[in-house]
Parts: sequence; structure tokens; C-alpha cells
Amino acid sequence: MDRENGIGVLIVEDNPGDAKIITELFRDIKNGAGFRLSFSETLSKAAAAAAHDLPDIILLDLNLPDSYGPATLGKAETLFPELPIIIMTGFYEEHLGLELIKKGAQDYLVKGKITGDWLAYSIKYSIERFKIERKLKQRESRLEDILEKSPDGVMVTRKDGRVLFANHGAEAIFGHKREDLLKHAFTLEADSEKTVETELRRLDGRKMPLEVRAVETVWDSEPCRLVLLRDLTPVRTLQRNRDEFISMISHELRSPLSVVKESLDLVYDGSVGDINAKQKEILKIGTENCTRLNRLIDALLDITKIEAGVMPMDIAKADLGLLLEETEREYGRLAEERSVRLAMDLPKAPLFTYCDKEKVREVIINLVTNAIKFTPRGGVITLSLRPWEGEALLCVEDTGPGIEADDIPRLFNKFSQVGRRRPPGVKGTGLGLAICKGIVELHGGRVWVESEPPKGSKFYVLLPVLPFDAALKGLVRREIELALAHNYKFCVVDINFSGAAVKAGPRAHEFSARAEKFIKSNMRNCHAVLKREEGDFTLILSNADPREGCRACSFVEKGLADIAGLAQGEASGITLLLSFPGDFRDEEAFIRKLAEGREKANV
Amino acid sequence: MYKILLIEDDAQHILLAKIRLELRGFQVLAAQTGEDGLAEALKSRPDLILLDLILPDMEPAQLITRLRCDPAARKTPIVAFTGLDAFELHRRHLGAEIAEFIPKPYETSELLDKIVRFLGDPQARGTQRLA
Repeated sequence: MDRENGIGVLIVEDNPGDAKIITELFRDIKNGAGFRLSFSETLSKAAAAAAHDLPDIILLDLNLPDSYGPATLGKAETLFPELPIIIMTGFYEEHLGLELIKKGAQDYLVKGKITGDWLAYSIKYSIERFKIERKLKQRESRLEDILEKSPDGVMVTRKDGRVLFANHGAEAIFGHKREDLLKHAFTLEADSEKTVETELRRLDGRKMPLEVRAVETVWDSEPCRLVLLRDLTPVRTLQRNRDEFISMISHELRSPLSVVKESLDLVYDGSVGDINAKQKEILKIGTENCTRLNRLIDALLDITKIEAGVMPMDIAKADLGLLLEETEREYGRLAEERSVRLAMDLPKAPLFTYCDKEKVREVIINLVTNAIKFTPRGGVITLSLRPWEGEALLCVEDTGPGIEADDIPRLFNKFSQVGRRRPPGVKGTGLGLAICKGIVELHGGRVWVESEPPKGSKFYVLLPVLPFDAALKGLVRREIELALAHNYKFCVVDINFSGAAVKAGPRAHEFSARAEKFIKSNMRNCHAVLKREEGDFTLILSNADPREGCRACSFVEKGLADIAGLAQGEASGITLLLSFPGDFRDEEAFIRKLAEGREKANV
Repeated sequence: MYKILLIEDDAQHILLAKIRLELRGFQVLAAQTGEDGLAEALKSRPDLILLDLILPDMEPAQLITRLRCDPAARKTPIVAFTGLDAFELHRRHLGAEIAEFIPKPYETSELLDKIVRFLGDPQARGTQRLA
């Protein structure tokens, strides 16, 4: 707007009489010189005039030689997108007023009703309003642009599921045009409490892993849900590639390594000719490092399985105190060799829990050998166990140099041998504590360290003391998560061999032992084998549909019938099959169904 | 002296296993393809066959079927090695025909243990005889 020349007003009006009235209105305005008027009779002439000398506002008559009626506004808006427009109507058109403002006119004035001052006020007001509107629109389109360009799907849904808004990301995820999305109800599972991972089956047959997040929001003053959708395909592919890569590499490394070791061994043990002491020493370094590399590969595979959630579990009732005693017996000598004393502090009553005994043993051994490594001569390592708030608290305490507080948070990370200055010659895999943490967490437990340099460190392991069903429930929950993430089905086979078939007969013990051996050597692809009682097991067969589950059941029944010398019919009640997601969808339902199934089998 | 036939395409594996087994007092014959292995088996009549399940020229099932056609080789124990990933699969399909599976890579001591279980220990026999 040019202050010196006043506000430029382009009046589009074909009726000379009306034009004259309008000119006179401007003349009535006090300080009317503030306006610079120009006239056009048609829209096209107005466009030409505006191109020549851009006005600040347009006063528009709706009935012109080249356009007639309310549509004129739309045409004018396209011609002058940067200009505010005031409509001038006749009496007979007054009813159109509000409608026109909704369609984008700044104001509407009824010819013959208005005064000059009113007109001046309306023009100034319209120009300001238009400016504000434009700023708002810019901001909105900036936000819209961000929403549009986000690869994540963003949708707003009403409580009844109707979709009120969907961005381009949502179109891409569903493979539907926005118009179609707005027509249908949103049916995906969404929870404002937590992020849900689910699978979308698209109409084109593609299955897409999705992460769904929802928050409560208000949309046009109605309580609604803002739903954020993320395509997890790239994440899944990355995970799968990583897991496959590591297991392939591990295997490819192991084969040549075994050849290297065997070659060195053959020379080392004098099988192919005498060697002197010096040569022997050198070869020993070679074989020792082969062993170390093998350990590292094992550890790498273990941590990969733990992280991928596919570590197989072999659960049975175990006496934790006994486990510590066994460790002490096994490692007492090693400690003695290093002039370190291994002390024990066990509770009077045995502490039983359902756990994977060998894995828990690995944790204890790891902590004890670490402690032996870092404890100087004359030091003491104390292994202790006590019940603690319904759980079992294990502790390995040493009198080593301790760990600086800054290093503690990283201690259980992979490849972070940062915790302690290593004595010379001590080499680890860098994965020991990460694996310990993984194993303990697989059991629903916790591991942590307290240290007071230079007095020593205390490594704590808190394991839940679980009855059988709770341990099973935890593993079923893990399997459900896996099955959802990888989109597969799985089965649980409950085996009741002791009660139904063996009935504490004279050879019950032998039968149970043979059954265990049979199951463990034949069902190697189980994600979990749980031993409930002697002879009774629960197996979790991952990635198995009900048909495969049935096959496994009949295989087990046949094998166990052979062991106990049962006839075909007698063995049929030994197994109970529950499959996900056919029979249950969460672990609570699973436990319920299992109990019902066992009840029925007993009747 | 017990004869062991080793069918395995990796010459390095053959060399190392041969040294180990010969030191232990076994006679070792070797073949690098399934075809050669079959011919050697029918000609020399080994007491035990060590079979790598990944052969350059034939499927293990094919080799076993043809081997079992010969009455003399119908009961020769077969100890098979294979990579861990194929282990379960082979076990399911060939389980009946294979006396023992050894996942690869294997420790020589493990291999020796399994062979001794079928054939007895030539060295132990030797010492017994000496005593």
C-alpha cells in the first residue's frame, strides 16, 4: 500500500449508475482523498488493470457481462489470489452474504444501504483481516507440509473409529487414497497407554509390520485420537539381516578355526614328530588363542540370541544354594592357585526356583572367574545367597581394586572392558557381563554392582523365586511378543507323563529320566523346554502352526509310549496342545486354558 | 586293523583326520566325491564310513540308498558330519540310516569317541593284548 497515493481500490462494476453511486460514497468520506479509485466493467478488464497497477482491494459486483452470480467470487479469487475482495450486492441478493464470506469474501455490502464511513471502515478492516488470514494460512500450510512430508502415517480418528484426517504417509502405509481412508473406520489396535506393534494386512496382499502410537486430542472441539503409524519393515529387515549375518559369520569363522586348531594340536602333541620345548611353547600360544576365539564366537552367538529374544531356555526346578556350592567346588582350586580364598555364605534352608540352571550357572561362573581375575593375592571372594523380599539375592563379593563410579553404568554393555584396570595377561571376550545381564533379565531378574574402590566390588543377582506356572507364563509372554513381531504362530505342548502314564510305578524314576532324555534330544528346535515335575514337561515350539504342533504331540506320545511300554490308546492323553493365536492371545488366557485343559485330562 | 572310509570333499580335512585316525591305529581310505566314495566302499568294504553330508556330486540320501543296495554294505555304520544349520534337517530325513551325527566343526576327540563306540579302540585292544 502506498501511503502517499492512498489505498488503491479497484471497483469491478458494469452498471454506470452504481459506479457513480459508489464514487459519490467515497466523496462523502471524511478525508476521502485517502482512496485511489479505478473502475473496470468486466473481470477480464479488471485483471488487465490490476496487472498494470496493483490495487490494495477489490470491490466486486457479482453480475458482470463475463460472469454472473455467486460463481463470480470464485473466479475473482483465482484471478486475484493476493487481494482482499469485498462483494457488493443488490437487495435481492442479500441472503447470499454469509455464504459469500464463508467462501472467502472479506465482507459484503448491500448497495444503497451503506454510507461512506461504513465503506471506508469495511475496506480498512478487510485489508487487515486479509493480511492476518494470509499469515495464518501460511503457518497452517507450513504445518500441513511437515505432516505431508513425514513418512510416518498421521491420522485423526473419532471415538467411533471414523477417520477425520489422514496424511500422505497414512495413504502410503494403507495403500489407499485419502478419500477412501476417510470413508472407512480405523480398526487397527491402538492404545494411548503404550506403543503397539502390530501387523497390517493390506488389500494388495502385502503384510506390513506397524508401530501404532495413539494420543488423546481434540479436533474441531470433539475428543479424538491422534494416531501415529510407523512402517517397521526397514527395522525388521535390518534386525533379520544382522542376526543372519552374525550366525553365518560365526559358523564360517568356526570351520577354518577348527582346522587351524587341529593342525596346531597335531604338531603340539608330538603326533607327527618330536618338537622342542620352545616350539611347543609357541604352538601353545596358537592353540590357546584358537580356544579364545572360539569362546568369543560362542559369546557372540549367545548375545545375538539374547538380543533377538530367541535364546532357548531349559527350565527346571533348581536349588540355587547347590549351584553356588558346585561352583565353589569347581573354581576353588583355580582361586587357590592364585592365593585367593573362596568363601561361602548360604542360607540354612535350600532356596528353590524354576530357572535355566545351566545359564544361571554360567552367570555365577562368569562373576566368580571375573572376581578371581581381579582379586590380588591374599584376597577373599565371598559367594552368598539369601532370600530377599520373596526373591533370591545372589552376591559375589571380592576384595579387588573395585570399579570407579563413572565406569559402572557402562560395565554391562557389550565390549566395554572399561570397568576395571586389568591385571596383565587377563583377557576376556568383552561380552561376559552383557551375557550375564541378558540371562538374568531372561529370568525376569536384575543384576547390578556396588563398588567401593579400592576395597572391592559386590556383584548382585536378584532372581525371582517362581512357581512353575509363573516361569511358564513369562516364557509364553516372550514368545507372544516374538510371534507378533515376526508374524508367526507358535504352539505350547504340555506333557503329563508322570501322572497319566507312569503313576509312580516301580520304574517311574527310570521312565521319567528316559523321557527327559528323549524330549531333550528330539525336540531341539523348542524355544523353551520346561520340566514341571519328574516326567512332566511343557514345550514351547516357536514358529509352529497347530498342524505342526499336532505332529509334535503324536511324535512325543509315540516316543513316550515306547519308553513306558504303553499301548497306543493309553498314550493319547499324555499331551495337551495349545496354539497361538488360535487358542489364546495373551499369557493370562494361556494359563487359564492350560488349567482347564489339565483339569479335563485328569477327569 | 579296522578300515574307515572318509568321504569328504575338503582335502585339508581329509589330511588332518587321516593323520589323527591313523595315529590311533585305524586304516583310512578317502574319497572326495560321492561317486568315488561309493566305488571305494563297494571295493574295499570299510568297517565304518565317515560321511560329509555336503558332497559336490550327489545328495547324501542318494549315496546312502545306493550303498545299501549292496548286501555287504547294508549294515556298515555311517557317521555323518554336517554344518549346524543343516543338522536338524538331515537328522529328520536321514536319521534312520545314520548311526551318529557330528555337527561341524567338530573336535577330533569327539570324532574319535564316536568311532571307538562302534569299532572299539585299536589302541586299547593293543594294550590288552600286551598285558
